[in-house]
Amino acid sequence: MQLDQLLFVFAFLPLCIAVCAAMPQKLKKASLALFSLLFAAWGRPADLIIILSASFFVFFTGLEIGALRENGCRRLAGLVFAGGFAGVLGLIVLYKYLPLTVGSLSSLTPPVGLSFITFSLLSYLFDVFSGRSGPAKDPVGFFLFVGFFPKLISGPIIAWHDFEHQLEGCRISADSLERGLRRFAVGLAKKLLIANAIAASYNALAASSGARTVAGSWLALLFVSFMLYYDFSGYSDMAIGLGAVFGFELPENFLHPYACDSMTGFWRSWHATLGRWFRDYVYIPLGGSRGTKLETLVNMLCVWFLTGFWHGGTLTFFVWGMWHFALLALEKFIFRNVREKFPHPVRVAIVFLLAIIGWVPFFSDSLTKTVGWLGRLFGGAPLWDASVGYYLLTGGAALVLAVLGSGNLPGKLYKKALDRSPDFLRAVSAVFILLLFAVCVALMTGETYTSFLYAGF
Amino acid sequence: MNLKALLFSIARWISLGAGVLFVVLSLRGGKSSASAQDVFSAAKAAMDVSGTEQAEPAAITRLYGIDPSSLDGCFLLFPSTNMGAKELFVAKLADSSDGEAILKAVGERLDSQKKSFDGYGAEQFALLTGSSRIVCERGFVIFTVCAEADAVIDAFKAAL
Repeated sequence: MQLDQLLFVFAFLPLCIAVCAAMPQKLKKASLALFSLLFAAWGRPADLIIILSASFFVFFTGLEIGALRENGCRRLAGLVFAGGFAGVLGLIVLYKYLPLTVGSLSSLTPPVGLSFITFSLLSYLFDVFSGRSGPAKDPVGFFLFVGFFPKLISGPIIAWHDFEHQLEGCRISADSLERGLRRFAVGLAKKLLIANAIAASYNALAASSGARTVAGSWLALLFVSFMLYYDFSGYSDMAIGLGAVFGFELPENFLHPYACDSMTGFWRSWHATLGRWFRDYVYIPLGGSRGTKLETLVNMLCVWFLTGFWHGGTLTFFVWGMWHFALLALEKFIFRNVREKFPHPVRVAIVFLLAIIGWVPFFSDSLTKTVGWLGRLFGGAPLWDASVGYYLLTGGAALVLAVLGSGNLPGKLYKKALDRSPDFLRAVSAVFILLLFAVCVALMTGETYTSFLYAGF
Repeated sequence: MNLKALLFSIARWISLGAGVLFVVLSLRGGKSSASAQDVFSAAKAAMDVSGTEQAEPAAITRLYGIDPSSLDGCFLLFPSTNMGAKELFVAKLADSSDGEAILKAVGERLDSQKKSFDGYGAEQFALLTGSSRIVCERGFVIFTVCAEADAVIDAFKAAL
């Protein structure tokens, strides 16, 4: 089940809201956990066994670490932590990486959201072992942290120490419903109206002769850049909105990354929770930037190696990770002062260009295709083809909308208008969102299904 | 280690054991990594192929309405003459969700053959009704019509 399917929007979600709202406070968490189990099991009930056994494994590991620390057995607690850590890592290696090289494991299909569940489990173990949080005593609350359905498939990633204190605040109110569903509708529109429209243009262009020209390659690159942004940020909006419905504040994941004027800023704004996770649980424990320049570089290299590897165990993701490591290292150590000499719009344009070039290996099946695409971008192909003009016209509207919407201008304009006439604007925006939602429903009913891109990681 | 920690440790190991058991069972019952060519060859070796010939992809599309390129491998032995009924079809599914569509296509092929021979070829009709097998297992679909149908299915399963 996905968040942009009719079954979810018109059956699962209303039922979940109705049941949770009707339940007494002490049963709300349990109801939400049950619905999350149902969501995870939909289509492949057997997946629940892995999700539950991994959750219980880490739950009891946390309790054991807590009990050992209470008795001063820090060394033993460390060993248990290491065992728990290895167990969780082993799970993701088994399902995600070994099948790439071991033929007999190719039949193993990872459970839904495994990559993101892994982040939750590892961050929990780190927090409990370091003493940042106490171990969870309530398995229902812990399972909700691991498998909460809005964030199960593609995040946002939230650490245990940020989630645990929200568990007792689990409730549905008129305000949370309005705020949450509004945000959900916006995310749905981003996915269905913009991301899917751009995806259709991209797929058609990629299959045409236009893709083998310089102009077509740049157009394809723009298409994938905004397709990914609206698909993933749309999903994040939906997840954050759904969390808000039930009284949970999930962290923001996209903060206008294409409007950033530095690569550091870009990575604090693009899939922000992933960057934060690697910073808190890899970069800082390794020493961060507290050591020498070389030590800092090595720590950054580790982070970007792991970031690329997490996305996929292929060379193209490794290249993507190394591209961003190189850019961040250059920005931090070489170009830190040079940057300030350029005006803000120029810095934004440069960062945008460098970021989208990184999507070439990200979206290529092989290094050969990566090199081919890069070659065509920089002149190694005919300049133009009639089909490029066609796809520019047919996909151009969605692209223009995408470019305008990806910056922080719409938000600024909305806030300004809200200050002037709040009631009028709230009413107009409510009608607008309802209309958007109606169009989304029509699209959901009529269109071939396109899954969320990040669901594949 | 105190009692509390020991109990949590036991629970931890039980959870881990449950997960490992599930993975092992999944590997045993999951999609086969065998190639369609190998499985087809093994099944073919168990039957008398006289009176049959190997089909081109276009013939698979014509007879079954299936696009072979949508599968992970697909092979067909079909009758050389209109009076033959022996057949062997093996397909490796690219996606497990394709199984239903392929099984439906195979079922329609069998029904069509039965209709062709009903009242005209008693021997062929008997083969189609009594000695035909359709099996879907571990990401593969096999359809066979021959006197050695059971042996073909055994060979098919052994090759997975």
